[in-house]
Amino acid sequence: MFELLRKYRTLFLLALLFFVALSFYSFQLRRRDTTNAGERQVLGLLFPMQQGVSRGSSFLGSLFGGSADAEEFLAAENRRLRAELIGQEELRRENERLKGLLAFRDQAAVPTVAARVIGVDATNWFQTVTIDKGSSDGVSEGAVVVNDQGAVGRVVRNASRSSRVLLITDASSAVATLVERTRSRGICQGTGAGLILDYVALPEDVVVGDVIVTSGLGGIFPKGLPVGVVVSVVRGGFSMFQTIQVAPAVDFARLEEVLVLSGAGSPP
Amino acid sequence: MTRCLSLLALALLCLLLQTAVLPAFLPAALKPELLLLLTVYLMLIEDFVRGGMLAWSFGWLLDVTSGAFLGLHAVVYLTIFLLGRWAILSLNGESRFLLLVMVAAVSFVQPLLLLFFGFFADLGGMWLVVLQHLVFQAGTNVLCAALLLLLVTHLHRRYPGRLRLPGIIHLKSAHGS
Repeated sequence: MFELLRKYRTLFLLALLFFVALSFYSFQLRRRDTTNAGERQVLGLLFPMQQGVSRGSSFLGSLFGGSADAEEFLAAENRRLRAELIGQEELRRENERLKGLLAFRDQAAVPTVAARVIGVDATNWFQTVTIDKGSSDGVSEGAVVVNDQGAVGRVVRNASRSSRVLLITDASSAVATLVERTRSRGICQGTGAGLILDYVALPEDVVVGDVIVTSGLGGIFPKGLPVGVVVSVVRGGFSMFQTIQVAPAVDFARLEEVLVLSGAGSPP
Repeated sequence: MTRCLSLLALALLCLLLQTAVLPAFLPAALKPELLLLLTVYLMLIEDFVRGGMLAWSFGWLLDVTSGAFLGLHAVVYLTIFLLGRWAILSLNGESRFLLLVMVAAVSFVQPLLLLFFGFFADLGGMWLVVLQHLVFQAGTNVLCAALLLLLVTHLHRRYPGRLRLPGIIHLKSAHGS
């Protein structure tokens, strides 16, 4: 027996490693809505670097983003004035966004925490963002994240000073919704870049331009948050349901500030 | 041990680049998977067991910053490493072209493995995302790998003897088939 183990030592170790990896994955699937200590450590380690990079890149963006041509850019005095102007423009835009968020916060009946996006998902396969607020700011797993445009997602992982938000456009996201005009119910599922409204029966009246809002069913998102607008409806074939494409209400490519509804949502 | 720690530190740096630095300067869809390239590099320099453990660790680190299923990328990266390490035994790892082919192959295999192992996690319409991004992502990874190889060979030429990267010291276009 020992001879056999010694002879196939590498194979045995690899099989063991694979088994451990699969067991770990399987174990974590049952605890998918909680953050473990290792994750907290890595998120905590990355947080200051991500925050620093985020601040640095927004500063660089405001400095160089709007320069019209190279000659003006090379003139030192012009550059200083231009940078100042662009900085002010950036502040004005940020002010507008924050005003929108404040207006939304006044409407929301639950306590909210304002947060800034400091990182995006490391791959193209999933849609998550990292925000600069964590458990020490009152953000918990399952908390709903919104901005002044509508539903953004929910917190799936959190460390003490940062959290990760699963966007509603992620393929594993599903939001209980209804068509605002006709009150027809359906489930909005993420497709990476957009959304698909599923389980809307063929006789239901849905047309392009209809606004989709959260229905409040499912116990995660509060009722009435804008989710998106219908961009195409296909009826036909042998399906019992319509195929409805929805453009998200939130511009996820330019997501910078968000509100975490700390009183809404809870880990299922 | 030092090499393992260096590789883990490099993996953290790759994560920082992937999540915060590159997205600030590149279009949203352009996300080179530097950790995947690092895993391909692992295939050149590490044995099955140590490399397997490192690849699993890389995947675990990626899980912390990508998706919502801890352990998914870890299993995928481990599988990729084992398959790739086995394949590289019969290939010439010192050929730049073959290395790029390897990156392309791994870039195609990774999302398929994500779909396979993600089946247990109910990933919903993940296959749609994979179909949309598969070719583009593979192209991005290969382009990034080619640029990194160019940089490494340039640095080798510029600082002969000072820069020693195990596994790709002799990597020149003249080598291999």
